Amino acid sequence: MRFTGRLPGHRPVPPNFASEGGPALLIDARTLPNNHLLQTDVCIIGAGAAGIALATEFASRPFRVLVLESGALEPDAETQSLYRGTNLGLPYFPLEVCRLRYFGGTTNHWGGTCIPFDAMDFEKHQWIPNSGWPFLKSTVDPFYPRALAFVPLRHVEWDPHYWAEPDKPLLSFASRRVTTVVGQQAVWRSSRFGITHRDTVTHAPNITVCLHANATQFEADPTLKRVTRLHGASLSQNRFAVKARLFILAAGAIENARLLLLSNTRYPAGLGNQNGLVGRFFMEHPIIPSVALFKPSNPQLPMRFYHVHTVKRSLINAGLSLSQEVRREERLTSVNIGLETFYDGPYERAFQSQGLRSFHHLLKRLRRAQVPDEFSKHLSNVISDVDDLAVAAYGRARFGDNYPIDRIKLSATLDPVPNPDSRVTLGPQRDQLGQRRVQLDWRLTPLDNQSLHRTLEIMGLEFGRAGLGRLQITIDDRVTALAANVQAAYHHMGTTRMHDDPKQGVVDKNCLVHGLQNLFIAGSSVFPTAGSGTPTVMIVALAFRLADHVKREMQ
Amino acid sequence: MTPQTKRRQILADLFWFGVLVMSRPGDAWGTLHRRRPDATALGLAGFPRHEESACVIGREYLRNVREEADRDILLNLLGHPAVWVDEGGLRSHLRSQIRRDFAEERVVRLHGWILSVTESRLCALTALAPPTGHG
Repeated sequence: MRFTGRLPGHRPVPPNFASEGGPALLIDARTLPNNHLLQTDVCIIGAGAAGIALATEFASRPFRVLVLESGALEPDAETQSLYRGTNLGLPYFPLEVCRLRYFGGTTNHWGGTCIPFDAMDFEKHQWIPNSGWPFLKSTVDPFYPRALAFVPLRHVEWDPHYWAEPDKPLLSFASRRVTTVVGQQAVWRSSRFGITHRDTVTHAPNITVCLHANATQFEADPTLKRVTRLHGASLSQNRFAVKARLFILAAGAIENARLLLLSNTRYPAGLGNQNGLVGRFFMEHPIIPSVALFKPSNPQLPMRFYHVHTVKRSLINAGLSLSQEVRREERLTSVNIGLETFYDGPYERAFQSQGLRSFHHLLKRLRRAQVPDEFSKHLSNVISDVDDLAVAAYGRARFGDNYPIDRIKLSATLDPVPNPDSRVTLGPQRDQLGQRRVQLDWRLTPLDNQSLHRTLEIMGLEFGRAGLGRLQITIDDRVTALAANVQAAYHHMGTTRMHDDPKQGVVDKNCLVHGLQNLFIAGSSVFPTAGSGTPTVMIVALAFRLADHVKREMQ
Repeated sequence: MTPQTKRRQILADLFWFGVLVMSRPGDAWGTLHRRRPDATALGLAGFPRHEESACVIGREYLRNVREEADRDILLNLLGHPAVWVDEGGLRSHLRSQIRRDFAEERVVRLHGWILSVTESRLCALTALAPPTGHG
């Protein structure tokens, strides 16, 4: 069954959307008659990382799927402005900037870095309040290869030794207390799910995508056991509703919480919020760009493995972290350390010069027998900075790739402690649809700060023990210093956390909202902990796991 | 490099030999005239080679460990003079002591630096020494 022909508002495929798979099923909510009712089997709210991963899994299955997307295939300012909100807590990006509201969602500006979660991320730790997932890593592992292929990555290998090369060795420590962590970059441009997987979703015979469709409120039956329908509206102010057997909310961690809180007609606190947990435990990966300086004993310490570079056709970067054993022993959360090398004065100046960049650009083009664009500009840069080129050439001739290092700057990315006071709530302001906007109050805990400093101290000890050099911690150890220096990663997590106990989580281990029979949540809002890895692959892996569950239910 | 900064750098490099002078004048003066110390003098690369920085760190160490605020006590704690046969012997003694400090986790955090106790005591010794007056 499909909506074609029955639904008003069905638009022909846009010219840039043609493909061999037959016509795409795209409808535009702005053209639906007012108060129109859409009926389907499964309704996915949001076409971001989770929504698209789910939809691809449902393609060609024997049930109907409707994907609601607030935006269109391209971004537009008015839709994006629906994301505006107020920030009450730690310094944070404007909420309409750190996520994207069109087909593909926030993957449309995703950097593509993938770092896997480790086993400890899933475990309950006595020293970390509210830690632990309702299952171990082994539950998600079977979905990981599929998720990696979906993202996509070229390799499934994370062992740093697999990536090390003779001229780019790993740092050698005297003990195994410090480990190297490798991050892989998703294949360039393929990480835009809205482009890469668009055809799979929109050309599936059982899937309809409804663009410009904003979900505004869930309606539940009087017993609050089932969602009976979802209300929505377009920015043209026409209202519509969706009736489905199952609903999957996949609108991102901030909007997922917002929509549940807005669904307060029968239950004033909001749907699924009987224990006041919706919107709580908001997590981000705090990034502190400068936490320490490392002065190597050997100025020519090979550090190139820790710079972004290409190995086996994959772009990788690497950092350092404490081993799981040390984190357990010391009762710490996970902290990933990034390393940025600064070379001795004249070489550093040369590397930063426009002339050297232009020289590399020209060389690359000429090697490919291509005419360089802006040739005169680049040539002029080369001529102006000829002294820097001479310094770089001298350095290369003398030192090969290991130019003398002046210092290495350390940055840190923390796996934050789940904190119920870090939360998303509804504010007094309203958007164009009359919906209350969100307020974000992002907070960290003293344990986050303590883990950062203890991690740096242990790193300093291990650098010294290995004879690699000395570390100077440059960030003050007061919590206020952490708050003053913190940045974020556009990773929104935790606002509808997963827990077996309804008093401690909004969804159960199958991502079903506690107390409801037909409302699932997908995406990083269900993460009980932010983890030491990056969220996108985990979002996809969990979406595949949920998809398998839903497929079974639909049978 | 201006003549002044060059002079400062040479003085800074020679600073560690100042430590030797304070400890074993005869031996150290001899080596001082034989060759100029390199950037990894005493195997303490990454360690503040500038006297001012060493003094700042040393003063913080002494604020925390007041009972060591005495040159003779520090010299004793740094090792028995009998092993300080010459510059090489001293270097080797300090290096192995620093290695042992790190292996046994005898480290301190001073002005953010994670240093071995031996390194911190060397800084403390510097802080207690009369200023060299350069600059």
